[in-house]
Amino acid sequence: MDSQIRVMIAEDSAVDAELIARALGKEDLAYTSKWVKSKEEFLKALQEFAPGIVVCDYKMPGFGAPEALEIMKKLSPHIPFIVVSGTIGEEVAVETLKSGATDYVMKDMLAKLGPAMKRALEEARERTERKKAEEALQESEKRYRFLADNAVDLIWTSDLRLNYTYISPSALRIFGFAPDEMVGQGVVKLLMPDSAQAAIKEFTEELTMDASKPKDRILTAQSQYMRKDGSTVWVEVKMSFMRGPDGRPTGVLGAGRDITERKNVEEVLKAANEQMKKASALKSEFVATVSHELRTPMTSIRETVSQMLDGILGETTEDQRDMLSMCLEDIDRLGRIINDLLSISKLEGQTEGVNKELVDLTVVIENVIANFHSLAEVKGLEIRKNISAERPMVYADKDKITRAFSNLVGNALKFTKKGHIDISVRDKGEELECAVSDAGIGIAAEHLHEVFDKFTQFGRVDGPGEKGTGLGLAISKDIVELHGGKISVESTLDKGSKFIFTLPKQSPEEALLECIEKKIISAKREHGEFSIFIIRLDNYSDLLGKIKEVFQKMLKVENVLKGEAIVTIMGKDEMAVFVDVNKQNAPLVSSRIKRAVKEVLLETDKESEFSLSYGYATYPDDDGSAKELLEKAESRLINEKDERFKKHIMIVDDDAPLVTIMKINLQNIGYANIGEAYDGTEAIEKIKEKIPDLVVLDMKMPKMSGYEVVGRLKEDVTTKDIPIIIMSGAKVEYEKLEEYVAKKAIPVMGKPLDMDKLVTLINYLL
Amino acid sequence: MAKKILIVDDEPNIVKVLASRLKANNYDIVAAYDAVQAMKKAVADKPDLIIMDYKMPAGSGVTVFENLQRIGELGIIPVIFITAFAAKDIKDKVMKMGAIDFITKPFDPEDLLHKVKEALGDT
Repeated sequence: MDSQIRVMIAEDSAVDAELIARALGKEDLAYTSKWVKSKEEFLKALQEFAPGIVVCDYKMPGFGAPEALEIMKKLSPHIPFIVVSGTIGEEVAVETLKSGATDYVMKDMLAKLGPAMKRALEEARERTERKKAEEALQESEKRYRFLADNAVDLIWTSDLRLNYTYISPSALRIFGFAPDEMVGQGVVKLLMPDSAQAAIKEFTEELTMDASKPKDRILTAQSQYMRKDGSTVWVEVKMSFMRGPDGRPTGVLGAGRDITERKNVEEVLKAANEQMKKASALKSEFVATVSHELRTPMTSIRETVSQMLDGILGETTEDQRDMLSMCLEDIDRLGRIINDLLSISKLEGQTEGVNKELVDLTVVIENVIANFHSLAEVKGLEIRKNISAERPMVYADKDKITRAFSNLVGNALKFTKKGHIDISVRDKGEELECAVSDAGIGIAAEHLHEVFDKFTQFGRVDGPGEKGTGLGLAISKDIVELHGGKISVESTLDKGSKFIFTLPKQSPEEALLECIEKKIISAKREHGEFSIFIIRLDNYSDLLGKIKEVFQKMLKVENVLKGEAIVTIMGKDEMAVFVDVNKQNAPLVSSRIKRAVKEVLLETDKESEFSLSYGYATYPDDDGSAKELLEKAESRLINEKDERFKKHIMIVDDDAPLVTIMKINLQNIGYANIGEAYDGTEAIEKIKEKIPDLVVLDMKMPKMSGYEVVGRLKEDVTTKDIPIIIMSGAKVEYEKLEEYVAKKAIPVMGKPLDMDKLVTLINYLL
Repeated sequence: MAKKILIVDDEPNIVKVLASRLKANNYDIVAAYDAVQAMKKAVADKPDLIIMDYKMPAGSGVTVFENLQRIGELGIIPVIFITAFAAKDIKDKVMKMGAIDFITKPFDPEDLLHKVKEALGDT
């Protein structure tokens, strides 16, 4: 843009024009000017010169300011117009201003022209900017209105009573109502009753919360609305407050999307899921019932055969006994098949809990070898173990893993006539590789792919031991896969077979995380809000024997509070994690857990170096994945000892040396923050001044007795909950206290002072 | 004198084979086929041991057991539960209640006789 001001001077007198130009020259104005003397020149210059400001003589031959003003109003109303005149009177000047001139200047006072021009230009500039801003605003409103008016989604505004003030035309499609029909109507009126209640509740809460602590956040709600034709529609709405200049909410701006289809799919999925769960439970129940019904007749058959064999029912021939023995064997096999089917049904229906714990495979394998020892001896076979993994530990269901090994070892024994059966465990980095190999008859290559199928049996042999059910390998496979492993087989006919399965290595921490994640996901789904606690014990070697008791006490706390899930890991770092269903319980639970743990720990050696830390996170206030929630809780772990030693203890006793002894003793063990008072009045003053976390109180003191101190503390809301320990040389007159506290609710220490007991009591109360 | 055992099961065949096996081992047998009969026989015959099915129509074995416990002199009779359900939680439940032992169907006769002897203090 031209930085010079373009001034058009309309003046018939050359002298006056020169004077005007000079007046302008005196101001520090960068300008160029154009002198015009007639109407024709004025019009031409207006076009060609394009002035930024016009200075016009009031009276020119055949032309003048009034006519020029008319022209300007029509052609360029925004250009400032200053009238210059030698003769103008007050009335004329006012008239001129009224008809649109920006200012006027007398010819004998041309010095004023410069400042007048500056002012006029400044005003013009402001005017232009304002206009531009207004235009921009209008433009943006037009744009947004265009977007809203043409949006597929719903866009709306409402007042704070949730009455629509604007709604986009998409309302017609979504609700069946034209925007005109909806504006002025209450949002709530359109909602289905359940959604309406939830919406009102949430909105009111948000409004209340905002009044105390304004926070620009977006509220999301999924609600069901009634359409004009009576059908329903699910709409997900995101809304936030529109605010006035003072920051207070003035209305609500919302955007909504028709999610009916998604909701329907969700419903269908949910129903299908329920159906599947039901079917699975029914199947398990069915299998359990069938097993029961089969076992009962089997019992009388088996027992009859068995009694015939035993001779209870009279003499039998050898041939009869032979056949009866065969009968008994097959009845027993039938029993095993029923049991195996039940196992498979439970494993595949996952209706049975998996009891994972830290399992040492060495122990499992030794047990399996012991169980098969006599059978192996009968066949003249040796079972050897070769465990090369340094730490053959897995986090697994011990009974199930034992079963997987037993099935494989049992098969190996069955199919081997001579040689060894080897059980090995190798470390393969991420996982442990277990193998059971034999020197038996082997499996033909064409059958290898079906060995893990149900009811497939190859190379059946006679001999000692039970006949198979054809389900053993299928069960082993299910068990291995349940633990996240894989099973495979290598075999050469007449040389032997090797069954190999892997079990993922999992640190206790990972295992814990897995369990917790499951619980957290289910808590998120089922409760919507909950809290997680982490309790950690360090340096606990002094109280190894007590650990179990500590954890048990914690569990008790959790049971009382109707906790949802408890997971404890007894590994390198003793740690417990709780998931409680009520997030409001967080502080209460931690304080109870703390107390429960202390109850056990304080009975043990006081010199113990153990330290207890606890931390918690609450959902949904702390949002995130299970891992993030745990990390949050862990990052907030507070060491109980650190916390305790920061507590402020007030000692009140008129026996100054005793006060000093207590103070020094407490300071020696870490309590840094100790106050002292030597009579009741001083005590009350100091306590009110700085509320302590605990008061050790003598009963017999000058000025005000301990009893009165207790009374005063209990009567004041700010001090009534401070724990008190009474120190008294004489018998405590409880009747004097019972007005304030329940019978013997305040612990009492006799005199002379037993510092150890006092410390224990203080540790417990803090 | 031979010891008296009350067998309670709604399956007559089971009662029959159990009775046969136990008679062969010199025990006197009384039989009942439902919960009501079981209570009557227990009162009338004062058996030394009761072998009782866990699940029966007209009141389960557990109900009978609880009723027995309420009558002082009957409460001291040892009870072995027998069931075709192989669930461990059932065993835990009845043992916790105070049953002296637990047998699953089908049973091994040696195991049965051993448990009966133990319950009667005959070992």
